[in-house]
Amino acid sequence: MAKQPSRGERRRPIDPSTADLLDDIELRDKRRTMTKRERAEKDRAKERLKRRVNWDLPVDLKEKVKTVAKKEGIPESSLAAWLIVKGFTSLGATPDEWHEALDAYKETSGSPRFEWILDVDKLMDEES
Amino acid sequence: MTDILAIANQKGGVGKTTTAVTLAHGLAMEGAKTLLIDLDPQGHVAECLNKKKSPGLFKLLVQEFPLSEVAIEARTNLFIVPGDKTTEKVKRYLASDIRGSETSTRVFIDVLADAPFQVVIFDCAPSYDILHIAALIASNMLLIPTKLDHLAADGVNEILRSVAELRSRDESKVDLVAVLPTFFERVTKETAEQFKLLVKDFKHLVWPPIPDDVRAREAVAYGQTLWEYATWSPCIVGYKSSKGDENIGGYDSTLTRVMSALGMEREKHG
Repeated sequence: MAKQPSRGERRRPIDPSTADLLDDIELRDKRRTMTKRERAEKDRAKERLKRRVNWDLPVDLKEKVKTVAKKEGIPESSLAAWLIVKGFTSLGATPDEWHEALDAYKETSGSPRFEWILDVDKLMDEES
Repeated sequence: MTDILAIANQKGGVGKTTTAVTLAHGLAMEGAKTLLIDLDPQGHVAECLNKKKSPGLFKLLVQEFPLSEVAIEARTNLFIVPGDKTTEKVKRYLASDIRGSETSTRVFIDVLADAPFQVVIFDCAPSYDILHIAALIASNMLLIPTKLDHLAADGVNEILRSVAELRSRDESKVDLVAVLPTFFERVTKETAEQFKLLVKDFKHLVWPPIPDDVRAREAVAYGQTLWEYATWSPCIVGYKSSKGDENIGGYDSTLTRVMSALGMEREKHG
């Protein structure tokens, strides 16, 4: 019969802020032992992370972006960024202009984090 | 009821007086009428608050002056019982007290009974003497500042052993203990190693550290507390966490923790 792995010492909670600081120290230690190349790669990954987004889109819209990006031979994220810039430019610059443009599509949100969500399907129907 | 906090480590130069003065003034600024008692013959509590060293403790415990006559108002809500070289005589007096050693070690319980203060803080001397024992017996919370080096960490062990011994004889009321790393240098490898060892040994007792900061020394030179001299300094505000907006460590967060440990609510933070 396989030997039961030792449970070791029962863990006692440490102060969360102290734990955060220990994590920082651990990271710093890891970084200290990295080669120049590993450090540069780590920095690049950190930069990439700053630009990364994770949004929920309607499936149709997502497919549309995918199709156009493929056809044009560009990354989907490039196309999405281009469309956002276009959207910002065409809608105007002031908060009032934005408010006016979005107001007709606002619906009460079921999430406690947000007051409203936008009815994007309604917009897609109107635009098609 | 008066909460009594002892700030102690048998190792010297670990930031006991700076911690005691900063927390006492912090509590006073938060509205808690606070008494800071200097148990160190160096008498630096008074110096830190721009007051003269004087035989306050000697008058209180040897000449038996009433507390109201001995306590000096150093800031709004903050009173001190200053000390000086006569504190050495106090130790000798208590050690040879004909009333018996038990009475001597309970001296602060008697003196502070019905004291009109919300919080009393003892700034203990870096030695294990009768005043130290009397402070531990009267206190309900113990804060142990420690530098991050091997010898200072050994001092933490020593004082925890002393408290355990007193508690085993039902002589100490200390029910809250915290270890406060001081002079923390974030970029020094030895500091990091010692900090990890400290957390490994004392686990949840270790509070986030006080950053090493020259302003702590400068403030003393101007007779000001850190709240007056440099509220924005790292030793007050702590470190920016890489995980979020909350700062880690510093006397500001330590004050919040002390108040919360003593069941007091802090009106503002930061």
